[in-house]
Amino acid sequence: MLSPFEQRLLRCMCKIYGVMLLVYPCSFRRGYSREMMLVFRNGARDVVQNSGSWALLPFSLHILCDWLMTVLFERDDMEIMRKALVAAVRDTCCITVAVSCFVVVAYMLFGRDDNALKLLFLRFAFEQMPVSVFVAQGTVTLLAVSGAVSAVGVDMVAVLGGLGLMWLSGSMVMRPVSYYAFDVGAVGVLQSALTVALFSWRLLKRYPSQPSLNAVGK
Amino acid sequence: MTNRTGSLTISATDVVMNGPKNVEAMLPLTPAVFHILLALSDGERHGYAIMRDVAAHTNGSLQLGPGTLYGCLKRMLAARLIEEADERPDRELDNERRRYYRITDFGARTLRAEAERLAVAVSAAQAKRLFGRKVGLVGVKR
Repeated sequence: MLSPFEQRLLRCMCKIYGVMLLVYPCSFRRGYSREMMLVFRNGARDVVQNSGSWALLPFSLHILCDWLMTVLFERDDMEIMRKALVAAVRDTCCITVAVSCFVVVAYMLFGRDDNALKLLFLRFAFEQMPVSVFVAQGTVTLLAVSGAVSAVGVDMVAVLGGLGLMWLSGSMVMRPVSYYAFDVGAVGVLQSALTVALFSWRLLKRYPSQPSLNAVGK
Repeated sequence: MTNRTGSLTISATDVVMNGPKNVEAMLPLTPAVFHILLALSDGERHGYAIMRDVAAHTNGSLQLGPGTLYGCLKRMLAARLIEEADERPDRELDNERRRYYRITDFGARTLRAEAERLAVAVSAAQAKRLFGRKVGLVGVKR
């Protein structure tokens, strides 16, 4: 039977370990963090019962080493993440170019009294802002969000959440007013469609990979 | 269609349902994976029981931490060496609703192949009378 001090100590250690578990990738955490916490709690309780509170010290060191090694191992997709980040930047640039082209063409076709390039790089008559400012803002937002998404790119929820955020921020940034409703709405739709398509393609490319068994527990 | 691997048969179902499973491609197993399979060869176990079994089998020389254990289990599930058990063996005792794991046929075949491989290595070491004497010194006088 554990003393109140030992029980408090165990509770405290479990809380600390719970925080440490947050460092694992989301997908791993979702699958195993509850089980890992159970194993940790049972292990710590057995150590205290069999060898006393002081034995928690080597146990904690062992857990810390295990945590360090496995966090690095489970995050061995650092290379994938780096590639994903580069790909995200490249995608975003492509999207920006495509959207800018669309804007130019749209203003060429449907522009009012100004020509397309003038509207893109000079001031809007109504908004006092050139379209390029919105495009630049959208690009920065896209870069930031897609970078963040790529950093946790192994997680489907984060990707979907990032897409939602991206669409929201994109449409908000690109929608100063409903002055040129057609253009702005179409830009938002195009941006969203391109983003969804590119991310879907990347997801399909990335997810089928199987982990290597023989890289485990060396 | 059958394919002989030692004395074991890979069924057509294995090939069609799960893709080609080649025991040899899995070898050599890491100590952690080998001992986890060994622990599961006695029956279904939850994570902590596997950890205790591994420590007991190895006289405490291999202590799996939770991260190593579940990292291995994740990859072993992906490689279909093990599977999650649907039923809880001791439902009344186990109020924490842990997950239980069991070894698959493929896992058992892989474990046997690895054990045979290790046995060959041990035999070779025995033939050279490595047990019970100091080894590893180059140019040692005999």
